[in-house]
Amino acid sequence: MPSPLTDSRYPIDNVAALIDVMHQDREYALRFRDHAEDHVTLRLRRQFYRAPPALVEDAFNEAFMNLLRSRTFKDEMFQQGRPASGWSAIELVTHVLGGYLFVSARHELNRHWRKHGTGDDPDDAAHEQDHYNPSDMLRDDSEHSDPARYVESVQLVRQVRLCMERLDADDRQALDMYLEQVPIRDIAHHLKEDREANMKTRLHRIRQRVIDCAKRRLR
Amino acid sequence: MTPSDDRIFAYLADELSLAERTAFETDLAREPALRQALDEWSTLAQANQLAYNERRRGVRHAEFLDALNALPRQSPTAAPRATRPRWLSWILGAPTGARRSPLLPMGWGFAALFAAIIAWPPPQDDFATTRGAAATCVQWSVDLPDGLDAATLRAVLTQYDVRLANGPDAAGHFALAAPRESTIREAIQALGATAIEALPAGACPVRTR
Repeated sequence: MPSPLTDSRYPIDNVAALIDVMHQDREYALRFRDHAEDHVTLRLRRQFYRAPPALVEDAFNEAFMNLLRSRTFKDEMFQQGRPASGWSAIELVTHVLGGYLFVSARHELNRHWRKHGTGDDPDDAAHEQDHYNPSDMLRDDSEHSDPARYVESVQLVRQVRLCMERLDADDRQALDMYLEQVPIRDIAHHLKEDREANMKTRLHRIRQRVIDCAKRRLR
Repeated sequence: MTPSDDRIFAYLADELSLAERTAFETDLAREPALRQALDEWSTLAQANQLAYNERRRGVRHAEFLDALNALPRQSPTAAPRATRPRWLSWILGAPTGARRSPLLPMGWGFAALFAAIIAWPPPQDDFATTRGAAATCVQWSVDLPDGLDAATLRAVLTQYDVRLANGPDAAGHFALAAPRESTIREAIQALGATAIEALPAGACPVRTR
């Protein structure tokens, strides 16, 4: 990952200029896309705990491409607070487009969920109150608009991911299955646990082990 | 496992009745330990999402670059130019497309003169072809696009004077080598490939004619 000091910066004023820059600098384009993907999907997954990762990623991709194709995002948002040297890829996400992409992707996720989901989304009612209209959204006021807090939270998630990889095969499989929304009784059956309650205890211990490991690595 | 943990599983699976759900959310505000356990499950779900994103990144990059190619440019010459901190520009030079100082050609001229003196006698080729005098090449691990045909790959590598040094490795990545990093970057862009990581510099691969 490039250092923020050497990361390219461009004085981007609108979506059309962003597209021109991405044509010109493919590395910048991919960095911007990847930062946006992690920023939006992690936030969505925290809110929609039961959404499968594939659905969350699809929702982000639709929102991202809609942004580039429609070019309806307000130009003044690129100009507010723009550093004299221009926007780096991560700043473009945390300062300018992250909030818009999040709202837009959440709308796509709700749409997918209704179309392909297994039932009502528990968060639906809250989302309906948002009166979806991302072009009206001026500023992302959440903690995700603060690059330092955002990077800190992503670091924790990355450490958790590394610690999940260190679990033994059965525990890793149990955790992956649970996070992919496989019912606990099915996980218990698959891993030959006698009772569902034992499987819950095991998952509880796995969670504690992974979080302790991540905290140790961050110290 | 405590009864609270059982309720967390039920809450996350949306198995609580409305009354139970309301009571649980009231308890969440009162019991930091319960709140923390729920936060930890959310963090694990985020880590699961991150792992998924990273597994799919190669495919998504290819799809994104295809879609980007289909998007019209505002103007081929209107793209904003990259900027770098002044101190960095002194070391690395101005970024591609940026306005260059009129003194810069003189600087490069002196640099070229010194390089010519140091490297005398000049090599016949950027890529040394004699054993024992191998030049050093910068190497990058890259992910080539799925639809790339051999003829295009050969043509681009020849055009930019870049060699395939190794590959594919277990992840399907190839190592490209060239005396200058800039030519590798240009070849990667021309191929529509994805740069994975810089590899340790090594002897330049021998050109096959």
